[in-house]
Amino acid sequence: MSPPAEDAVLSCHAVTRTYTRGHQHTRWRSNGASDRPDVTALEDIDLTVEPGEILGIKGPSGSGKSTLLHLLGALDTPTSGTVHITGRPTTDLTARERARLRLDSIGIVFQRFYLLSSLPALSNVALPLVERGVPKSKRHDQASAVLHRVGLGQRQSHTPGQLSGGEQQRVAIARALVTDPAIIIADEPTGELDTETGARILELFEAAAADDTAVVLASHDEPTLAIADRVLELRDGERIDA
Amino acid sequence: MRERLTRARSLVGLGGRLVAQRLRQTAPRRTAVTILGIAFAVALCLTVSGVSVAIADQGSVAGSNVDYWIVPEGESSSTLPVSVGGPRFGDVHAVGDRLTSRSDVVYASPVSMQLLQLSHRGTTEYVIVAGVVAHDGLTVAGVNTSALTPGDPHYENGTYDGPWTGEVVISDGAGALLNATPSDSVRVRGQATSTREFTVAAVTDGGESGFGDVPVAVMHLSELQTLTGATASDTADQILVASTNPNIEDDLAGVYDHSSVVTRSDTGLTSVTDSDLALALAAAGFIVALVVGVLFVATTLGLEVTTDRRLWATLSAIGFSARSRAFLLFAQVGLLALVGGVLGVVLGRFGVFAANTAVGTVFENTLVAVYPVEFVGLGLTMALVVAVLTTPYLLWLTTRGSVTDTLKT
Repeated sequence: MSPPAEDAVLSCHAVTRTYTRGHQHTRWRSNGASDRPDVTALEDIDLTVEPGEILGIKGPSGSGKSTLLHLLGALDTPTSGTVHITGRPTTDLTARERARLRLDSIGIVFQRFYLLSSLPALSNVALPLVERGVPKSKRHDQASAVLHRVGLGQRQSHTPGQLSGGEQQRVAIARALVTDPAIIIADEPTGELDTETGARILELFEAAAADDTAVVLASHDEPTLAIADRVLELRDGERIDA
Repeated sequence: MRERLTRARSLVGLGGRLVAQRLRQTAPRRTAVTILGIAFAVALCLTVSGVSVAIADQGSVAGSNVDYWIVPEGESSSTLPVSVGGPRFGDVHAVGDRLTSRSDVVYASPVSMQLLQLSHRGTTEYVIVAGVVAHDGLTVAGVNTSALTPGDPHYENGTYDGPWTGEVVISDGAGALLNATPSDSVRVRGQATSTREFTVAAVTDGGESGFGDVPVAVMHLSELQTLTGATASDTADQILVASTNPNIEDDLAGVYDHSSVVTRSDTGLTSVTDSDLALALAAAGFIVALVVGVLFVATTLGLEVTTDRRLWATLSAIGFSARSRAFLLFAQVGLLALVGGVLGVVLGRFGVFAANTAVGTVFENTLVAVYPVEFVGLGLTMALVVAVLTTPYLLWLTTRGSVTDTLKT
């Protein structure tokens, strides 16, 4: 196993991710064999991301962008190769340790926001702090401060249903920022937003990077990728930008 | 430690908000069905337990003021109340007095049973006649003897020269047959002497102790002995002992050779309502209610968990550990169980009331089920057990499918 690059907050070395297709349909077979071929979603990927850097990942649908983001976000582990997050190899961690790593070091932003519809913005942002065992008043203070940073200081008590798409995405970004993570992973963060709203969302990522947070953005969208320091291009699971 | 407590408290609060949201917005009907399912299970358990406790109570009442019957060996409990013409004990008045003098004996009475002809206004019927030494509270063959002069005045220390009371208490069955009412005179035809007149001191409900409409008459033992010629050896069929001492049985067994002791709980109707039946009923009720509750909750909440799979995937993605997610799930199931349990406790009270009302329409003054205050705790515990048993299945549902697949869809 190769060591991570010295300054890198995130690094991949020879990462391959293969999915066994039809697994669910065949797992009760005595030999576990499938009649459908395996799919290699990513093959032999190397990359590093340093603190404060914005890395863009682009590629068409099915190119492996989401798979790579899941590996970089410790949501998944590679079939082969290594992913180091803040110096820790994810393949060596238990599921519980990877959950703790996500809680402490990674903020994830989804295209569809995935907010809890019953909770107001403030409570949605404070969710990761619940898992950290932060007392209610303290976590509300922290969440409120982050909501002010993303421009939603006046909308804290609104539930997602009472917010626009752009505001919901800002709540999602605030939720990712509230634990002060080393890395933000964002999958198509402006995919469901209009151009103007998307531009304002991107400013938040730039602000986070200015605070030394590494940002990894996956998108089809050129204006979104324009804020990236580097862009990594994938096609059929392989890097084609190198 | 403080961090864990804070997290647990916060997760319970979050669980409460998620449950409230389901009730108000996302799945009110399904959530209501879950609560009703738990409530139904708890109510079922409590109603059946109420019947069980009522049954067990009957046993304990008998046990707290036990009646013992000293009977000749070979008598079975089923023939005991109407034992006529079998082996007999002698010198029974002296034995009865000796037993009554014990501090742990409330009273003891020899009982002689004979089948005799009673006549009233031209109607003659054969009636079971019991001779007793009367005591307040003594009931023989379903007939309460309180209306008889206490003791056995005619016996007078074995001389049979004491005052002849001529009193008889008859069951309502005998009263109906003879068309006799209190203060009427009835003629009793003995075996050894000519017919004697008796005054009906009372007509009592013979339904007590399961005798129903069987015609029974009770009089003083010495007067029955005089009628039947049993004065020479002062004989009786059985000796009834009421005692507060649960360990007196061995002493009573030694009063006569070749005798055995039968308790009231061995006799008559109470023999089918012993503690084993109560236990079996309670266990069956508990198991059925548990299965019903678990199936209800597993089915309805299983659908909820499947619907909420993005919620669980999101929590996992932002760093909630499997343990925290399990706790959050249990908090939700527990809250629903608590609400269902409270409702079930109320419904269970209603179930017990309904059972008593239904039986009361057939048998007056009969309680088939009770509802002690401890049932509140039992109901809530039952609901909690349902929650505990259901949670593992629901947890398994939350782990089906990967987080990444769920968040892609």
